[in-house]
Formats: sequence, C-alpha cells, structure tokens
Amino acid sequence: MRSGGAVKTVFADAERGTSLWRDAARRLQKNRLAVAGLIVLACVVLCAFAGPWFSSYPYDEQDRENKFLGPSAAHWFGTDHLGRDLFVRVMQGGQISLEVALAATAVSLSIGVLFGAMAGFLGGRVDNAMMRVVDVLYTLPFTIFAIILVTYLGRSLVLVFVAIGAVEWLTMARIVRGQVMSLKEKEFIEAAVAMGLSRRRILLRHLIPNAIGPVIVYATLTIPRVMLLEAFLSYLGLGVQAPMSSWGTLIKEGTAAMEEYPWLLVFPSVALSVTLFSLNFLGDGLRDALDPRSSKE
Amino acid sequence: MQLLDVENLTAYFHTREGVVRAVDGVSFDVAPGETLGIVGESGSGKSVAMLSLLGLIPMPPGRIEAGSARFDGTDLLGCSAAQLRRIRGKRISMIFQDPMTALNPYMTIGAQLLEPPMVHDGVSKDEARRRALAMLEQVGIRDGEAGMRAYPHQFSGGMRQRVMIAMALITNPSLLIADEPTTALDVTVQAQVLDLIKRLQRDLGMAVILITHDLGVIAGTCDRVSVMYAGRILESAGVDDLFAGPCHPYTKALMASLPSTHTRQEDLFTIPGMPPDLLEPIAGCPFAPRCEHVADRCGSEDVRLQEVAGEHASACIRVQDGELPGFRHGAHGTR
Amino acid sequence: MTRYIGRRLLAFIPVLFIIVTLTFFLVRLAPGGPFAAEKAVSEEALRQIAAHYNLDAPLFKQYLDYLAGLLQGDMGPSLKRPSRSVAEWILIKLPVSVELGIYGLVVALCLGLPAGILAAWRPNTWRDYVPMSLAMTGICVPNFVLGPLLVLVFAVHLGWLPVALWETPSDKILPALTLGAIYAAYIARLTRASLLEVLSQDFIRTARAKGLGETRVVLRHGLRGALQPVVAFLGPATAGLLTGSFVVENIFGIPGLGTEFIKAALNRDYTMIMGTVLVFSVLIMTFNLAVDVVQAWLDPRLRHA
Repeated sequence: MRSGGAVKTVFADAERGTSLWRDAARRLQKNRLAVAGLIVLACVVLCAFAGPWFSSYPYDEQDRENKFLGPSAAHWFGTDHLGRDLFVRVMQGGQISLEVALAATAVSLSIGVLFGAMAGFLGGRVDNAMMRVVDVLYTLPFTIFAIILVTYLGRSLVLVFVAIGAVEWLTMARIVRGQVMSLKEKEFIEAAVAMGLSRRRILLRHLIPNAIGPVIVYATLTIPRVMLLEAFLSYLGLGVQAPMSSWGTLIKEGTAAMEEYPWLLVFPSVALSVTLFSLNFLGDGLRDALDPRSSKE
Repeated sequence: MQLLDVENLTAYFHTREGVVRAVDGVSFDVAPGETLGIVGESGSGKSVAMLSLLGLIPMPPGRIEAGSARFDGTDLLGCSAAQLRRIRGKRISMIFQDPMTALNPYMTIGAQLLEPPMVHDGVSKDEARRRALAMLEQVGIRDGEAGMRAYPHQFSGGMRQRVMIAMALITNPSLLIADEPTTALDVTVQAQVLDLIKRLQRDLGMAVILITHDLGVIAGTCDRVSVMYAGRILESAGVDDLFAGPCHPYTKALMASLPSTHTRQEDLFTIPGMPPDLLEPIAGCPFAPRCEHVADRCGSEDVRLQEVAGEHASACIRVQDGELPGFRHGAHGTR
Repeated sequence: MTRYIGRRLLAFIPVLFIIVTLTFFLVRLAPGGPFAAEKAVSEEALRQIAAHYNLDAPLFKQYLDYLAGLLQGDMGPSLKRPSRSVAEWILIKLPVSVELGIYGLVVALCLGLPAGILAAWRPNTWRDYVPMSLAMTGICVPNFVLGPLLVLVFAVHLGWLPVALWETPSDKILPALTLGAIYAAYIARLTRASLLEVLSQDFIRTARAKGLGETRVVLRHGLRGALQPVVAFLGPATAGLLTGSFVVENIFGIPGLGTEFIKAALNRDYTMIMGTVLVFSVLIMTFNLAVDVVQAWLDPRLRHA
C-alpha cells in the first residue's frame, strides 16, 4: 500500500512539475509591464543586431565636414564630434553592451552554478569551506578589483566581461547551493521508495524545473546589473575602447559635449535606460510569476 | 436587552478565483455577562464572522454583503471606521489563537500593554503603568515589573496568552471575543487559561464569545452554543440542551467523532466526505452531501435556522418538520 | 556583543592582508610601469627613478618592504604626485569623499524610506504606483546619466544650482542627489516589500484589534520589523556609494579620493592605488560591521541570543 501511495505522489508531482511552467507563463502574460518589457527588449535586440546592416553609414565612418549635426532625416540621431552617424553608433553600441552583458552574465552564471552546485552537492566540510570563501569574498570591494583588473590586464573585450562576471557570481553561488541542497533531500526520499530508473527521469524533469526558477530570475536580473557595470567602466574610460563603443562610452562622449549638443547625450542615455527598464520589468515579472507569493499581494 | 445582536451577517471574499462565501447569513446574540460558544471545524467561518464584526477582515477582497450587528446602540457593520476603532479594544476586545505570533516581537510587553489605556482612555503613562501592573497580577504573572520590560519571546506560551488576555481586558470591555485561545497551548495550560478567562469574566462582569473546534471546551465554559458549518449556523442552544439532545445531524456527527465517546474496541468515527467548496453557491443544506439522514429535499430547499424546542434552534429542515424521530428534543441520552 | 565586535575587528586583519597582497601583485602584473609612458626621460634617468622608488628590487622584496612600511603607518610616497606622501594625499582628499558619501546616504534614506512606507500603506493604488515607478526610474537611469541630465536641467537651463564647485551647501545638492538616487530607489522597493510582509503578520491584526489608529499600527508596530532588510542592504550599499562617488566626483569636479583612485589607476601610481584601496576597504568593512551590529540590536530576539 505504501508504494502505491508513493506512485500517486510521484505522478502527481510530475503533473505539477509541468504545470508549474504553464502557471508561470500564464501569470507572466497577465503582467502587462513584464510583457511590455519583453516586447521592447525584443525590439532593442533586433535593432541593435540587424539595424547596422540596413543603415547607410558604417559606425566608424568619419565625416568631419558633417560633425555635430542635429537630428535630421539624413541622420536620425544626428552626428558626433567626428561626423559619425549617431543612430548607427547607438545601434552598434547596443550590440556591444548587450553582448558584454550576456557574456558577463554567462560567466557569473557558470562560476556561480559550478561553485554552488559543488558546495550543495558535496555538503559537509567541503560545503562549509566553500561558503566561508564566499563570505570572505563578499566583503572584498569587488568593483574596485574589477577596475584594477580591467585597467591593467588590457582593454580586451573578453577581459572586461570576465572581470564584470567575476563581481557578480557570489550571490548566484549561494542561490544555486540552496536549491541543490533541497533537491538533494527530495531525491534521497524518493530514492528510498524503491523505484526504477524511469521514475528517476520523472523526478529530474520535475525537480530541475523547480530548482531552476530562482536561478533564471536572478540571471535575468543580473543582466541589467552587469550592463550598468560595463557602462560605468566604459564611462570612466576603463571599459570598451573606441572605435568600438558601448553605450557607456557614447554617454561619456555625449557628456563632454552636452551643453551645446544635448542629443549626443540624450539618445544613448535613453537607449540604455529603456533597455534597463525592460530587463528589470521582465525580471520582476519572472520573479512574480515563478513565486506565487509575490510581494504585490 | 442583548449586549450584541447580530442579524444575517454575510461576508464574502471577492478573489481572483471567484467569490468565497465565507459567512452566509449568520445570526446570534449575546446577553451581558454570558458566555456564547461558537463551535465548528476549520473553514466553517467562525473566525471570519467575528473578524468581520470588528472590521478586521482585509476589505479589498472581503466585503460585508449584508447584515447588522447592534452593539449597545451602534450598528458595528454600518458605523464609520473611526467609531468602530473606538469600540475595538475598548468595549469589545479580541484575543487570538497563537500568542507567539499575535504579540509584537519587537516591542516589550510593557509597551504593548500601555497602548490600550493610553490610546482609548487617554490616561497618563504613569496611570497606564499602574493599570498594566495591576492587570498583570490579575492574570497571574508574578513579577510585573520584570514582565513589563520583557519581550514576548522570553515568555512561555501560557504566559504569553495571559499577557494577551491582560492586554485585552485592561480597558474593561463589556465583551471579549476569544478566537481559539487555547488551541496552541499545552493541555495542562489550556485548563489554566480557560479558568482565568472564566474568573475574570465573573470579576469584570463581561460577556465572552468563545470560538473553538473543541466540544470539550464548550462543555466546560459556555452558557449557550452555536454550531457553525460552511459559513452558516446549523444549530443553536443552551449548552446542557445541546449535549443532552443535539437537534442537527452535523452536531450529532461532531459529537460522535470525539475520541472519548468511543470504547477502545470500536473504530474511530469520522464524518465521511469533505466540507463544501465555498467558491460554489450551495443549494439547499450545506451538510447534505455528508449527512446520514439526507433526503432529496435537502439538496434543493432553502435552509434556515428555526426554533424546534424552546430556545433550541436547528437548521435541519427534516428535524424542523419532525421527520427525524431520533432528534426530538430530549430523545438522546439522559435529561 | 563587545566580544562579537572584537572578533569581527580581528577578522579585519586577514581580509586586509588578502586585499593588500592581491592588489599589490595585480597592479604590478601589467606590462609597463609608472614611468614607462614618460617620453622625455632617458634610460639612465628611468633607472635612477626606479632605484629611488625601490622599483628595481625583486618583486617579493618590494612586497615585504611595503608591508613593513604599512605596519609603521607609512604608505609610501605618491609615485606620480611626489609633492606629498600617499598618506598625506589621503588625509586631504578623504574627508571630501566621506562628506559626499554621507550626503548620498542621507538622500537615499530620506527619499527612499518615506516612498516605500507610502507604497506599502496603500498597495496597488496611485500611492503605490507613483513612488514605485519613480523608484524603477532611479534603478534604470545610471548616475552618470542622471548627473549630467540634472546639470543640464538645473544648472544650465534653469540656472538654479551651481555646478563644479564644492563649497556652499547648494553646490552639494546635485552631487548628493545624483549619488543617492539609485539607493533611494532600492531602499524604496525594499521598504515596500518588507513592510508589506510585516503588515500581513498576526501581530498587526492584534494591534488593529486593540483599536489603534492605522498610523500607529503602520509606523510603530509595522516599521520596526520592516527595517531589518533595509539596514542589511545598507552594508553593500556603502560599497556602491563609494564606487558611485568615482563617477559623481568626475562629473561635478569634486576633489575627492575617488578621483584620485581613478587617476592613480590610469597612471599606474602603485603606491597611491594601494593606499586608496586600503582606505576604501577599511571604510567598507567598518560600515558593514556597524550595520551588522545595528541589525542585531534591532531584533530583540537576537539581542538576547
């Protein structure tokens, strides 16, 4: 009778496992801000990656005859101090900013997931030691180290996002560790009920979606944070270098000329802010959708 | 003249999943100085009914759909929020089930005790302190001074409930509503707390509404009882009359499911089925699906509380029409 | 409690040690030195300078010498601004940054807390949506965008406030706002979520059952429990305020330590970098400790543990 009851539980759990995603998707759809964020984000990504193909101006083509032009039909966003078309530069900047943000998030995700999963899975003293390391690292002024790293080890794009990713992985590690630990416990109990391998697959298909939720939410919210960090570094002159410019660099250039040519500041700023807005709304929406006890109620 | 006269209290919750009919046409009254027990399973609406009287249900999803509650000349359901606030904590006090979560863990006992007299009676801090210390002694907390400086987590469950009682009675209310005051406590402490309530009730001459799911508690402390199920009152009687001869199949089933009513050899009795889903409107009697005396008419005819013998009232239409001989008043057990 | 503080202070030492070591080697890892970029200097002169600053010794010996100096309170001379030692530069510039940081914190608390409280008081009404939308704006508009925009509007077009000065109080408004805005936003959101959570707990129902006015219930009963996450947030927020100050000092031309740090980083002024990093780390750790102490004090359950 016991195993019969457990079979029912496992199947019920498996059902619940798949409907968890459907529930979350439904909730997300209802959240208009999150949906708007998703749409805007899609537009931004489209423009950033496809836009430069359609533009008649390459992003690094200088035209000193036409510098500091205001927005017009020929140059939608105007031109900068070297006569480069700002619209295309903003699109290109978007590419860089998005790529760096994604790469940095991927770096922090990888380190965090590996570290956290190991700690959670191995448990015991190894876990203690690893978490102690995390605690100590948490107190270090990481951003300062990122600045130093980036300043010294060269201005290559790769290093920039490795440095940024290295700043953000700690919390991800903690989250993943927590999830792995609760996952471990469930697996243990289920395994105790003498089931075959095929059941194990059901468990993995049900338990993993459950555990991945917070990781996805945190990753989505990490992207705007690293984007901001990259823009910050670029603004200080430490990040991406000209002529490849991210939004941060463009904003820096715009600030220098803002009194007379405000559009040089406004357009890249709006682009960055709008992207951050949509990412944050989407991240918030995902968090509310995956965790029913949202703070709005 | 009744102290509290509730007529047709109806409170629904308008949630995203639908309308939850938590309290559906509840009527009862309480005389000065008497103890009314309200008994029912979890989900029967007994707590919600009391909370809605005092305006303590969250009003965005919740709404008082109908009814009146006359308390000493004022209709609690119709008066302004400010008026209700003046009555709450001063003339009608309420204590709750779990004293650990019901007391503010970030404030000292003293700070929490001083609030009612200072806010309601406008007395000075010193006067409030005096009253608080006196009240603490009355509820049996010896070192009042130390108690005032302590935080809730430093007390045991029983003592915390005493503090809650002190806090509720410090303004000398005429009515105390006690929502499952002993459920979260150890059995030995339960009796102490109930005795305390009874004693204070006598000393202060106040009425008590005692909400509980435990028939044993009802038997020991109440003058009259109302039995609630699915948001309605199914039976109402004096406590002796109720135990001598219940007039509703639900009450009878409740009593049968008490472990103490069975010998060790017999199987324990549970009421088959589940309480109804309050999202759906209920046609006929809410207990019909689980009732062993159910008839066809029970699923369709309107059901209302009606007197069947003296002050003993039942909402069972079959008992009202005398169709169930076993339920005539006095037919069960000894009289 | 004092033992706890003592233990934490002791823990500073190993952490600072790690920081010093990491920074020391990181900084010297890069190709080129502090004087490599100077054009008009001959080979011989370079060698002399290197010897003067002990830069030609083996790396490890430099490290030990530096540690020895530290223990005596000597952070060495500034390699690129030799008129003063590192310690002297820090003493001049640090108070400015600290002052800016405090103003930023004040802005963050004075804007964020009331906004969050208002939003939690009447959730899902305009009193909730407006502050929270502003908060979202604060999070999504970086300080290096907000700063110039504020300057554009208030200094250039409206001419209400001055810019690029750090003397009178009105000079300090825009920088403080720019620095504190994003933290005000985070604090507002945090306060709202935390207060909503607290207001759903049983003891709030008891407070209402006692007939207490809603103001008293929210502010006196609710807020105390809700402040804990906000205080916890203040710890990491200091690190942010600090790094944020680099940009704000840059925009408004404020002569603080942040600007010095960036300059030193770009110029490879090794000793200056070490000094500033050390000072920043001590600041952050001290503040984190203070925040932890306040947190423990806020919750009576922890106080008696």
